[in-house]
Amino acid sequence: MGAWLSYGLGSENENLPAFVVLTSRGGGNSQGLYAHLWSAGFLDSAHQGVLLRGGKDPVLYLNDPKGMEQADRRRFLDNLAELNHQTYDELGDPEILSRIKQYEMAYRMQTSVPEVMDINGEPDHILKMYGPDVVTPGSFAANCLLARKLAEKGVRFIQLYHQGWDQHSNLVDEMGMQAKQVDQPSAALILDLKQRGLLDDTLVVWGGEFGRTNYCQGPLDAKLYGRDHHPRSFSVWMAGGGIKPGFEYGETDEFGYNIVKDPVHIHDFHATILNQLGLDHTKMTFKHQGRRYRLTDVSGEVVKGILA
Amino acid sequence: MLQFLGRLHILVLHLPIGFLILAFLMELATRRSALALRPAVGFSLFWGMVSAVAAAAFGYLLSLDGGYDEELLSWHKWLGFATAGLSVALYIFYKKNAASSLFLSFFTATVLVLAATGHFGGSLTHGSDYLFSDEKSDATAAVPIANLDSALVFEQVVLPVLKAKCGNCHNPAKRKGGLVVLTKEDLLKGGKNGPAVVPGKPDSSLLLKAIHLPLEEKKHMPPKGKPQLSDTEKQLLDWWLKAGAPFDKTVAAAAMPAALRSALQAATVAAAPSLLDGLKLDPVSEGKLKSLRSEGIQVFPMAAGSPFLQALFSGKKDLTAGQLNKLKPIANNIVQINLANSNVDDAMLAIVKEMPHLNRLHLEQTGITDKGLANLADLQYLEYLNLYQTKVTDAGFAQLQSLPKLRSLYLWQTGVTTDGVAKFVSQKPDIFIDNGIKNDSMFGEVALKAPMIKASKELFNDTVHVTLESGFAKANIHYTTDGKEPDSTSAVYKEPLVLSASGR
Repeated sequence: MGAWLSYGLGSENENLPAFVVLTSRGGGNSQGLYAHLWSAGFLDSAHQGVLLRGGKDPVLYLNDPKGMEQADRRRFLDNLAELNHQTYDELGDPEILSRIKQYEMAYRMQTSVPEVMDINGEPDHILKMYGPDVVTPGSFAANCLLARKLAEKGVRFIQLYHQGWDQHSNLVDEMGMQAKQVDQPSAALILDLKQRGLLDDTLVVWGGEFGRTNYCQGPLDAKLYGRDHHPRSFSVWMAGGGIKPGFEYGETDEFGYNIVKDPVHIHDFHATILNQLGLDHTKMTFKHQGRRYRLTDVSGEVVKGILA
Repeated sequence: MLQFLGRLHILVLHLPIGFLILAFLMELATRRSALALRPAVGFSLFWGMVSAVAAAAFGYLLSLDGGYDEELLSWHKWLGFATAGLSVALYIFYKKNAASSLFLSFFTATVLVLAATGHFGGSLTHGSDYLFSDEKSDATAAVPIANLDSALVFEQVVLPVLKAKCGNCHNPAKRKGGLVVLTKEDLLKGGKNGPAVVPGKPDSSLLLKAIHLPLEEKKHMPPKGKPQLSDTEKQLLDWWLKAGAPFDKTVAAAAMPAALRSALQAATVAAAPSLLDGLKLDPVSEGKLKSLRSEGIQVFPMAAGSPFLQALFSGKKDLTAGQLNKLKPIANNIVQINLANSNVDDAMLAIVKEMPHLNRLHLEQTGITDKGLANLADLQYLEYLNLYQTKVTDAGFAQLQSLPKLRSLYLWQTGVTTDGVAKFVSQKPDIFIDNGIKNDSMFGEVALKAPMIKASKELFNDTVHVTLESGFAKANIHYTTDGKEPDSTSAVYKEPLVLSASGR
């Protein structure tokens, strides 16, 4: 989605990527996160997400090595670009041009990224709002604060991954811990965007890729039980960005097993998000292997019922 | 048989247009340049004449079917006969003296009559406003409903459906089958097979019969290939007729079933109409935008294909009045401008005076003062104004009084007071002001993690450098080197320590 938006909307800030990824580790049983989750797929690789890490060194290998000065780096890049251009003239592979662009972006990011990732300039009352973890680099709270800063700087799409939701067992403790880690920061992000007047044109989406069963998995123990994957029905929430606030859309049966009213398919969901960003999901296409592809493939309807 | 021949009119009518105009062009070419096309003129003219007579005859047969606007039909019919007659006369003239200038005048007149015939014919099939109406979808554009309960059942809910799905053929100009569906009287009167709507008797209402027939059925309406009624629309018409086809009641008074109501709610009560919806602006060419972008002026359409533009300058600290002035030629189309966190000042802000349709203005984190707000006085379309972290004060409210549409105002971290906000809200009750969170006592304190102790080596001979690191630069680190638990009275860490002896 971020890559498609980078493709469809371009970047608003030439010093920062259009699609930024921040990850945090929860208290639950962490599963791996792989860079292909925010890769550009078959889109131009210039649109892939850039992972920023908390702490001193937000992008690995971005800083100049010891003994190399900014001017050296500049000359090095200029010469490299010349070589790359020669190869491009020879082979005509557009990936080479993307690569030149990436090097240039990395060069500009050397100064822009540390600046935006530094939360020391934030006043105390803002820090307090995001909760106790906010000063711990790499926490969900810190990432929420950074997300706000990145949004202010014009980054189009900021994706926060928080790991540790896969409670096949030991659900009670772990889920409590996970929820505590995300609850206050999520609310603070909305509040903070709102008081800055940014919530009108920023869409906050909070969700996962599937839900959990309504029945138990593993031993039926008051504390240690778990729940399995349940893709039939689950919820997400959205805030700002022209979405109607304070109501629910769609309904499941009384067991939460299946949908009985107003189902929203992932394509509908994508179509709606694109719509709110000024893009017609039926018109934004990318030609790949002889066919024009859409983010929503061949289906998807804008969910009018949730628009403000 | 006669009906079949009549319908051939639609096919044949295009032939005389082509033949006669081709003959006319060849005649002109023969006279202007030395192209010797005159024999071909005769050939083309002959077939033009034959097809014109045929078209007129078939047209007459078609008109016997009825169902057309009388006045338009009469014009089309007599002009069509005239075209046929004129083309016969023209062919005879050609045989006698094709070179005379009178022949050319006569030919010109025939072509003009032909054009007029075509125009009226087009008006008959596509409606008389087809050629000059701005929007093709005019008929289908449903009036947005603000509140479904107080909407009139017929006028605001049923009629838009009929208009969109049936009105293209059953309108006063076309009257297919003698039926018009756009008013109460016409529906009750119906067409040649009887009334379309019989209040309270859904079973004998032809309207319902036609829409519920299987799609393959000849009498199914709308005909195969035309936009069909959705399920919700069918349910609506069923309910409406069952309820006695109320024409003047509101939705609430007519007791619409809840399921249908919520389906309609989703379909008709779409997004609240935006202020800009009714605004029609000439789009700025993409080339113009591209050339501006190449000069570093970030202007984009609000959405794909939209004539409305947004200009982005947020974060630019080297903005000049000259750069902003480059927006002047497209200022009429700019509805959103983002100057947040830029070096824009009161004087540079004068550019917004050129933007009559400005709807959203971002000025947060800039040096704008109350004085600069005077530039906004004439913005009739301004709905959103972000002034957080600027130097505006209560005095600035006076400058915002004249903005008729202002709805959202962001004033966190400015010089305005709670009293000032309250006073302004009392004057403009439908405004939303976000003044930020004034009281942060509902939030707990942040919790620092234990700092990291880093030494260059674990074991040392003489001395070792030790650094203490916290992820948060503003945190104070207190330490002891004597093995006691540090507290707030202990030494504060400022620089790397040099240890010369081990603790415990």
